[in-house]
Amino acid sequence: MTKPESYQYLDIRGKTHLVTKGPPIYGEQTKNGWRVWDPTRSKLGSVLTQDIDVGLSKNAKVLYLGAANGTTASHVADVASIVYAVEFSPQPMRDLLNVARSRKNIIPLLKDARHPETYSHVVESNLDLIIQDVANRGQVKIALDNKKFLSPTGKLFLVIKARSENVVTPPELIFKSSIEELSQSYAILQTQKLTSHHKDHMAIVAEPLPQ
Amino acid sequence: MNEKDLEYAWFYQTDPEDTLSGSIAIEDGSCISPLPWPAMALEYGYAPTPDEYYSRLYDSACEAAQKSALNLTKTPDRQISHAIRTMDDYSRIENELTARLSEWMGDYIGISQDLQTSIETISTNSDYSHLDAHILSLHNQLIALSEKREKLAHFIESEMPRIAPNLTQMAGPLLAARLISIAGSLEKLAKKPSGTLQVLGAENALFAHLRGRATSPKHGVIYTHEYISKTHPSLRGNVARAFSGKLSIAARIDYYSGTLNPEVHSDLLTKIDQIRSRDGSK
Ligand SMILES: C[S@@+](CC[C@H](N)C(=O)[O-])C[C@H]1O[C@@H](n2cnc3c(N)ncnc32)[C@H](O)[C@@H]1O
Repeated sequence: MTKPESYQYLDIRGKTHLVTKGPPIYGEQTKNGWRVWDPTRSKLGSVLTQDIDVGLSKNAKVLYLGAANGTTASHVADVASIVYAVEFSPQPMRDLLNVARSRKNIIPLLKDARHPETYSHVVESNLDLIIQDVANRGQVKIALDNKKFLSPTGKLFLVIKARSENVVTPPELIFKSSIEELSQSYAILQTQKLTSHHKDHMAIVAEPLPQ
Repeated sequence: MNEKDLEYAWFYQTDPEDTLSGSIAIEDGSCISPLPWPAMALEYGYAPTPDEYYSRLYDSACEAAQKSALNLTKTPDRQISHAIRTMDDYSRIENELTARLSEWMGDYIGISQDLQTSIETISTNSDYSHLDAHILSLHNQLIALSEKREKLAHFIESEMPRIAPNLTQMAGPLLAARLISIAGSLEKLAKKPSGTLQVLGAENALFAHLRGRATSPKHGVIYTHEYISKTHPSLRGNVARAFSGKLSIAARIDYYSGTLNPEVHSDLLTKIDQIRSRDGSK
């Protein structure tokens, strides 16, 4: 399942867009088989348009935690060779299954990211990238517990939603303590506050520390 | 490759041609740490090439996710359980409020009149007081509650024949829904022995008011059915045993096949007639 293309930038009707190549799924603009990756609808897309390297390289093997209805996961699958897409809620899983119909490299898993042992018999080791966007309590713990899927040279792209942890603590404090906690097992490469479309979210790119 | 590790793999001893066996392994399996499964699968002979491995994994994973997502979103028996519990809550609250209203009215107007006449007296009162307003509002609340309860009953009556056709035919939609709700689900009900089914609900205080005063607390919710309540008291035990026996068969048919089976119903009626034709006084 090798991929001919990665993501790139393309001018469509006078505007430059981030695009990937694959069948359209959510009414996004397309041109010559390239589909627009809307940064207002995807946190990963929003970070990529800020020229941050998240480790999504062509033919990467990816574990996606919190795949939801597959909006972002579909673009990832256009680039990656295989995407293990974990989502624990049945409603978005039904949409994700529809997305997987047009992308045979998405492996949908109705599992809880807090319990990696329930999918470690399916998801392979030595992955190139973990994308995590669960918007749920205990986000850092999930990243720590899923580290075992990463290759030593792999990367973690983690979205922290401050309000999911605690609605009263100021986001700044939550980001700070999240980074501290994550640093036990990961080397932080970059942190980035997300734009207005994704308020009170922070993206973190990290590398696993050797045990 | 370590044979022990292999045993944890989702593809271990699953048939490559059979996505169902793969999907069950994906759903039920577990392992502490991931391993390079694709390489191991090739060595084990599960798939000839990596592409083939991923394609089989894809099929099995889609099937597993599809099935469990459906099971979780389409659990009509669980939704109906909530509906019947809410209905029973309404009816319990109605009973309590009716008792309260009668007591209040008795003290206010005198107990000679029935409730409806007393309410009319108050609402046509020329010097309408705050007290009158409170009593009327309590009465309106009762009417609203009983309307809500009836709407829920209609909903349950229209849904139950689809959810559990045999159980509904035999017990009526409301009792059938109650049995499912006490058991927890149609599956759990279908897996209970008929003896348990006979006393289901007996321990539940919520059903005390449905049972009425006549029956002892060891009797389950099925004693509210007229098969039993219209049987001579000395024969009720026999009818209850026959009834719960057939109910448990009905629940199993509903759970495993879901189609109406007229035979169980005629069997039960014959059996009840036989029992009732015995002399109840002996
Ligand atoms: C903000 S959405 C993800 C959106 C998605 N990343 C995108 O850009 O298209 C978060 C998702 O994570 C899922 N989720 C939350 N906690 C989870 C857990 N413990 N395991 C798996 N999925 C989880 C939620 O059901 C929800 O669909």
